[in-house]
Amino acid sequence: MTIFVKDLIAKKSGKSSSDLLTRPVGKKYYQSAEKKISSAMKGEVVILDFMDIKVIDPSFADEFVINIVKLSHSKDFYVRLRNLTKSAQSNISAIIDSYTDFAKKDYAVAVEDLLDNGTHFLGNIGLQEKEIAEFLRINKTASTKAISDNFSFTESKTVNCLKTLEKLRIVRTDETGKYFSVL
Amino acid sequence: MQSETISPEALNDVYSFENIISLEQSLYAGENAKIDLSKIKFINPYCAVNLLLLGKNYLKKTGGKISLINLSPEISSYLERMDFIKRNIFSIEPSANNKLSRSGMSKSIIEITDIPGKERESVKAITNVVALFRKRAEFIFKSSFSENNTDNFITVISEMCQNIFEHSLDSGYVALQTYKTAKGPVVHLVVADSGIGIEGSFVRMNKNCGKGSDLLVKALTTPISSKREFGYGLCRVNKIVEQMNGNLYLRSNSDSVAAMNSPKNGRIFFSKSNLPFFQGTQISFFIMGTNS
Repeated sequence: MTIFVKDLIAKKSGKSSSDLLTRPVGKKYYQSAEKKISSAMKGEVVILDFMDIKVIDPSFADEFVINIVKLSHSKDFYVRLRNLTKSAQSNISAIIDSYTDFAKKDYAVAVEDLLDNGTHFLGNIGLQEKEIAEFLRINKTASTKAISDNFSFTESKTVNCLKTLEKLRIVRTDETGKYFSVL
Repeated sequence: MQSETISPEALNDVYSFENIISLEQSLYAGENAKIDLSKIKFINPYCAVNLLLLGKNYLKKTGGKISLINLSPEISSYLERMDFIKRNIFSIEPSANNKLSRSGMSKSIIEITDIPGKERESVKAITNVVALFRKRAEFIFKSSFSENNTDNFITVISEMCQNIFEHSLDSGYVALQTYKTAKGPVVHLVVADSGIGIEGSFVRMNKNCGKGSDLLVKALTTPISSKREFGYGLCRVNKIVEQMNGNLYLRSNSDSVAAMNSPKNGRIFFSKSNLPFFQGTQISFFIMGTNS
């Protein structure tokens, strides 16, 4: 499912802005997105496309992005962001770090664009987990053994890293034990 | 009738406005409060916006207006251009033969704009200010213009203005001005209110995050918020200002902190406590542009 964020409110109101600002506006957009997401299947990847959006301020990001990421944990779907400007990346990254700190729980989100940190992920992810997530992004899918062999990690270390990534909802697994990237 | 007059020597930086604040109480002593601007050749936006707050507070408390007297043609024109005079908070008495006139429309400023204390109106005002800023960004930044500078400024404007309706329990103002200094051109943004102040906002929410200027430094460096369990506002603003190599001055009730980059020590903070009381929170942020 792809949600064009700009259209969430703009289509209804006829108003359109390249800047997504303030908490009250973030709440409105979240409510509108939540309705759309309610029809998503279990395990589906929901793409939030920020095409034509220039600024997402931290208050908007807090109400919109954080709440959708939290919802993905409780409703079992995956989130992927697309078309983020530098400013939007930076504000979303800051707000994920801030929320992680507050909730004392790690949060992360996958982004289609190559980010300033050289990866495709925002949030608190360890270096080895990031490498595995990037490996999966390029290869789309891999077994635990293939990942262990590629990085010369022990199998138990690889399993731990994958479990962390699964918890962060950056990778998915299926009944055959193979892992998939959400990107 | 007794007349009390303040004659400021300068209104060109945050410290010169401190002199006015220290004399503010004397304005309340008589019935004809006056501020003589005869020595003033230049007013920066921090001083203009705070002068407006001072006048607004006086009007609220006494029902009367402070008179601004002996304005030079340049100062009159500047105050007109910034939409200071049209607010009708002061009685303006220009010097002889000086009719008030507004100079040509400048695209390199954002006129003083009200940020209401109510959520819906405030969001509308912020949206309008940001739209105007986007339209004028090319003229404001000139050779320093970039999408990234514009987007960063928009985040700063939005976050700083939201603090007014979310925390201050008052309305406020935002303004932006560009001007030249000996060190180069400056882009200067000011957001100010006469609300309960940062400490007052934490006290109101029964949150203990410190006091005085220590709390101001903490608000700039740690993601704390009085309203929600967490938040980013000022901390994120300071980070962006730091990345833009800009200076930030934050004053709240009787405390202040100035934040700037030092080549040796990174981001440094100069804090002051027990300043003369000036109600609310006032934030000034400026970056130096390039000389072309």
